[in-house]
Amino acid sequence: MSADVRILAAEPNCHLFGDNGCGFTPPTIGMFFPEPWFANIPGSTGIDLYMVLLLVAVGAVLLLWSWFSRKLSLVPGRRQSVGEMLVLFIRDQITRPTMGAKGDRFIPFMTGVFTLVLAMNVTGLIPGMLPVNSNLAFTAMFAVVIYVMTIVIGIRNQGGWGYFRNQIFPPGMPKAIYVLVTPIEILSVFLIRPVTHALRLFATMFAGSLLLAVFAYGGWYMLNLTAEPLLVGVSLLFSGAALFGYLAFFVFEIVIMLVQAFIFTLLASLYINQSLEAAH
Amino acid sequence: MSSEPARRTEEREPPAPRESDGWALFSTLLSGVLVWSAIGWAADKLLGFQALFLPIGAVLGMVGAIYLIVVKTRQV
Repeated sequence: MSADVRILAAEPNCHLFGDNGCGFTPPTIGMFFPEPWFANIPGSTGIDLYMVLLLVAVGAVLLLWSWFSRKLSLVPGRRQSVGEMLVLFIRDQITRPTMGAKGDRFIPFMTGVFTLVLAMNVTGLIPGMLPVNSNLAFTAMFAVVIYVMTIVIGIRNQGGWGYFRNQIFPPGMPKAIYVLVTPIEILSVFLIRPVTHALRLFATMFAGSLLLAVFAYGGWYMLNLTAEPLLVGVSLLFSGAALFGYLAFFVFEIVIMLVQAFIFTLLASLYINQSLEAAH
Repeated sequence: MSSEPARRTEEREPPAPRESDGWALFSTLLSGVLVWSAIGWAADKLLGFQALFLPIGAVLGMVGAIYLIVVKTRQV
């Protein structure tokens, strides 16, 4: 979300119209590979910023749902009502439109996915932090879990061969068309779908936080209060425009984070439904 | 209060999902183009053409993907 603090640390007095001889160093993708704080952990790449933010996001989600679920009553109070509204949102906008009433048993899972993905996105709004989902490893793990779930649910509902046959040979087509369509279905269902599921969320969070970093560091670089008065005025104008861009994009990024969490959960529900149903 | 939305939702049960959902369509379209472009590329390599079957495969893949989407949409 913020500028690449390594650039700020390396070139603290680098500004537009400055006389240090330094130019603008844009934030790079290196900001998404933070140095681990504890590297010597066997079988692991170490504890870095992403791991800590993941723990913060998981802790926040657990605390939130514990708080919503405390002292549940038939006539809900305000706290319980807010929790129920969120669950009803998941049911009415995600599981019922995709799976119908038979998908109600997946509401707890989808609620968990939605709130955790959203919490992992929102960590990027904390000053100096990054969205956890701007690292492909985390979105890939979500997608892998959902992918394995769709296969297991499909096999349980349609039988081993039945599930794979219905996926690879969609019913309702002339047999000759299977030559054209079967390779497409194999690649789509078993490779492209989980890959795009993970990549979509990763790419939007990655691009969003990189853009915010460019606005933030650009605004900082263009601010020079020690030059000639005319140049100070120009730098204030440029820096103000960057600040405005940063604030506008910050608000936009909040919306994007909500939308991407919704889309990720909606697609998970859609994919699970295609395993529940024999034909689609 | 919390039961009222449940009743209204059950009364107007929405239809089952359709492959025509834009986000889910994307993987089918992409797969169609990719797989048949790869088959076309392999055919070019085997038969010694520079770029004959690759574009044919890409178009065939797109046609197949669109056909797949239309058939699945009609089934729901």
